[in-house]
Amino acid sequence: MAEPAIRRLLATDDTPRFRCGDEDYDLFLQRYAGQNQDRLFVGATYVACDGSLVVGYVTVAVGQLDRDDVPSEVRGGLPRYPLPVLRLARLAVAEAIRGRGLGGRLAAHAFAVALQVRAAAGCVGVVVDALPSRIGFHSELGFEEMELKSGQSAIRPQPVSMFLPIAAVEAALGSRYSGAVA
Amino acid sequence: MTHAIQISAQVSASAKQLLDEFSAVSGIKKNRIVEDALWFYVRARQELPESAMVPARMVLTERGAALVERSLAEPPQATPSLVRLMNTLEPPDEA
Repeated sequence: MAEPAIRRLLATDDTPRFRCGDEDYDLFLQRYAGQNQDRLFVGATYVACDGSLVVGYVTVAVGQLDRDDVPSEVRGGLPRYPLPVLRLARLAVAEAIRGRGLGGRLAAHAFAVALQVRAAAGCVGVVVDALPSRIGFHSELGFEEMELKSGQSAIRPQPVSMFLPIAAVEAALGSRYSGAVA
Repeated sequence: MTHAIQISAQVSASAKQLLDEFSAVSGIKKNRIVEDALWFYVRARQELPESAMVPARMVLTERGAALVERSLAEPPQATPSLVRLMNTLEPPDEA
């Protein structure tokens, strides 16, 4: 199989046969990702396909970090208004093609979307809801665990929220795109 | 709205700011915004299980705020793993 291109989820994509080993993630793609994206406009899902069969997906949504209850002495240099971020909410790869680097490519695509959002509307960083088994992977990318009072994802097992400033993503791209990511 | 009644609620400062600013920019009255937003929210919650929702607002603890402040003030170098990951991106004209 050639490396699948990554693009936005379409209503015609074959999602019912997607199996990643976690029924909750399968069900989310099959039942909710499309309506979140196309009807409720609360997120977007990017898929990798083998033909029309979805073999991996990543779901992102815009969000904001707030510090309402943080005392002023801790706020330091942060502005008082909420900080816009891109939230990497779900990422899953079909069991059949696991271990070929598709998860990393999906994550890179989500980070590129974050750069687009920064250019279009503002975005200071990426927040990932990392499953306990994936904390090490995200730490290697530079994410740090970020303690929240509220706004945690409801997926199970309880994920850990981690933060990566957008400047690190830009630095990783270097001069290859000169700030223009399609 | 047929028979309007008044309610009061404790909300965050940022939520009030958002309401004030959106009302000023859009010209829509605040009571209309609150009522419409409530209908949208309840409808979304009825159609999506909690696990399918991605909360848009994350409130930081003191430690969380300190981490974000430090990360933004002194962004870390891109790690070798992140550089390798971003190298998998297709150039824009080939994507």
